[in-house]
Amino acid sequence: MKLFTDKGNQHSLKILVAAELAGISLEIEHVDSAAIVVPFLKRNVLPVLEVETNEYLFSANAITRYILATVGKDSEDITVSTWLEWESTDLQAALSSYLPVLYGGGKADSQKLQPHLSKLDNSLGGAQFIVQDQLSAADVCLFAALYPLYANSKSCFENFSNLNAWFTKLHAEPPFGASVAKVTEGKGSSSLKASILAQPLVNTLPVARSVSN
Amino acid sequence: APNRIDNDVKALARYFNLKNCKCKFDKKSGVTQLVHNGQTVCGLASIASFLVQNSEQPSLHGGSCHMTKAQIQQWLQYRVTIVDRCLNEKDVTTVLKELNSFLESRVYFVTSSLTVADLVLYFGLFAPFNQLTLQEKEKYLHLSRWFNNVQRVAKLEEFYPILPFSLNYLYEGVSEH
Repeated sequence: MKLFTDKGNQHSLKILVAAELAGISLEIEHVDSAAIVVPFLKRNVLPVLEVETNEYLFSANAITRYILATVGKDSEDITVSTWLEWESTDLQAALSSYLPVLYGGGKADSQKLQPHLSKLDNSLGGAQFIVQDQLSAADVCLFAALYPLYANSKSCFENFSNLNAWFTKLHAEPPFGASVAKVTEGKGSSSLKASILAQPLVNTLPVARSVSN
Repeated sequence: APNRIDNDVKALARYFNLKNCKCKFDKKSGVTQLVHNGQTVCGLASIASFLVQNSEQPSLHGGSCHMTKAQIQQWLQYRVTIVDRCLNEKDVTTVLKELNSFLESRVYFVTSSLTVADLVLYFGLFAPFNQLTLQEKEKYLHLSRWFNNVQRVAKLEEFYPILPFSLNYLYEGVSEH
């Protein structure tokens, strides 16, 4: 199994954590942010896992679940799916336009993220994990998605006590801490900038939702 | 006209023959929900996975192999993050090109049989395919072959009418149907 990723890509953090949790050693190859690793894809979709020769997975969330599943640690609870779907759609739609401004030195409007952080905060309550009080791919993927916010400012969740507690507790766990160190190469938030600026946007849903065929 | 994603959820529920379920569109969150026996599932990809898990058609989840499951999750995510979020013609063309390229040596998206990934992508591609001329469809040779196959196998004409495809490239000298 070989992971292709550009350096400092927060989505690869999902996979590194999963590998740590699964006790699996991953071969990692660093590529340019614009590299097209998967032959049929026309766009950059890093990170990519080459599971076997020419057999690729290009969804970081699916890769995370896959790695956990190989050691029986992926949950069948449908709530894991709904959180990952929300992460890849709503949350990334907001983050993929917010983070480049934040990391590019512009004035980022943090109000845009409030509904998302609030939703997470409310759903967590005081729980340690987001689904059924058991560590799942949902915690791993949401942690990684939010990591660039925390790397930029450790007080980014200060208005959301449940979210803050959940995040910082995970961050303190060795699999998470070790993976963060690998992705950032110990260089903090500046290591994430190049990848963030190169990542494709997740569009918000087109407004006209009723399409007549 | 019904919301496109609601239409897909209704078709999926019909396909998987799940009784006692209702489809709801939550205007506030902009999310489609499926309610079944008191349980609410949000989002098209998750609803598709839920229906497969609770279905009388186990073959449509492709089996219990981890890689197969992951590939299905990946393509369901592709539908909701890429196909449904095309903003313009260029986005759509990129999608059609990518998928055409992927299907060059494949009959279906995952494994060698129809899975829920094929269904969900077929629903999502119906609108762009409906806009293509016969000649344009031939440009996407492999994707068109797949689409033509799935639309006949899916048997959901009440939701998705059968679209015409030219078979000239398969049968030389025979006029179009």
